[in-house]
Amino acid sequence: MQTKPDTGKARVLVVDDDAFARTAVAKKIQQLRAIPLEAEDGLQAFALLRREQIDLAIIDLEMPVMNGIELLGCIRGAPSLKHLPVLVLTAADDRLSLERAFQCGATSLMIKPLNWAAFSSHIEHILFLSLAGRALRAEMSRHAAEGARTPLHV
Amino acid sequence: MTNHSHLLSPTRAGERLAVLVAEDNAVNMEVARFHLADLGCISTGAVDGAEAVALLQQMPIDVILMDCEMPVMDGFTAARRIRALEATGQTPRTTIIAVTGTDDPTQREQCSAAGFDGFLSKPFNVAQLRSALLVGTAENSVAPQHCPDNTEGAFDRAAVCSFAAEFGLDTTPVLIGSFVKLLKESAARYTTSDASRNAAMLHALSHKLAGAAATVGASGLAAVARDIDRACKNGSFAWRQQDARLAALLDTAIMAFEPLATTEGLTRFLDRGAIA
Repeated sequence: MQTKPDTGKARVLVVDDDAFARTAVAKKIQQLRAIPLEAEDGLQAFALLRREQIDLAIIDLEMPVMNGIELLGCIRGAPSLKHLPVLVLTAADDRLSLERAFQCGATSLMIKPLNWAAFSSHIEHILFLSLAGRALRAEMSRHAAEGARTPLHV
Repeated sequence: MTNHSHLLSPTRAGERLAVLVAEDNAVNMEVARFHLADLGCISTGAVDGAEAVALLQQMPIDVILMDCEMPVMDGFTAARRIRALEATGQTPRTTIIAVTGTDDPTQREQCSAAGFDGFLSKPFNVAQLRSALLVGTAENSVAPQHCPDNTEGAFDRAAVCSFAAEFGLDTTPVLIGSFVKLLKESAARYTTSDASRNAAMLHALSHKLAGAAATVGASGLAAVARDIDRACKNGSFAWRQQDARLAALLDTAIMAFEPLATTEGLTRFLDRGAIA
């Protein structure tokens, strides 16, 4: 069985134009002992993502300026963000909308209004995977670097 | 000064609520009219019951704030006279709110028997005045678009309690405060001209409200907002019927949720459930 991840100090970006929804999610992130960062639209979020080290992005689909689908496109198009887990939150519950979010690069998806118990477990799990993935990639690049330094025995 | 004008005006086709203050004490009169201005109402003064009855027959009045104890003609007598005028069709039905120095059940019964629609004990603040006006005018259906029936159906108690349990006593009031802010911003849209209340605006508004209301447990509001959101999305004009209902529900939800935006208020609310 997997041990409970240490998600403390993980940085989570919450993107929603609705102040109430954004605050609720950010507060829940705080209660899970991670650090929430907030953005009001996709453009603001993308600027933050390029500047800051973020472990998870939680994005709303319906937003002005740059919506969630457009933001997903930008994220998956940026080489430095290709591993960023993105949890999509949406009020739309039709098959087409959900499929579209996954096709555009969502890691996971939850329907609003949120079930907070499910949301909390979900966040902890995704953060665990995110942090484990990063540790693994760091380990692999360290090995690759060491391998390159070791001369080949002929 | 807090601006509460969006909550009580316009009531009928862009008009402001016209309130007659019948009060013999000049200071009390000033305070009441100051609060009324704050609430976006227009007001007139009468120094006793007889003057109030006379003014009512000369000008359009929606609500009378009637002091019970006044010289010449007291509030009880004036209220009975006014109801008699209405019974014979000489004046339209007017909301009369009793303003008294004490708040005891006997006096409330007396007021109700005299034909008052509401009750307000002195001293009162702007919020108490606003509630009395909302409840009084709802009873009398002077302003059907903006006056809630009561705050009872405004929330699903179990849902609010589970939201509070999820976020705790420190965070829940902050979130409810943010919800109330959203409600007030939405209610403010209803004071703007009808021209700006188009389907696109209502769609955005109802979409936000549906999510937020469902989250905090404002079930009645959530259901109506969701219906409007869906209707707008499908390009249906069904939202037109729901428009007024949404406005009324917004006011009810503000009244119901505003007290829960403080830790003390929320604790009281949760305790009340534990006793009941």
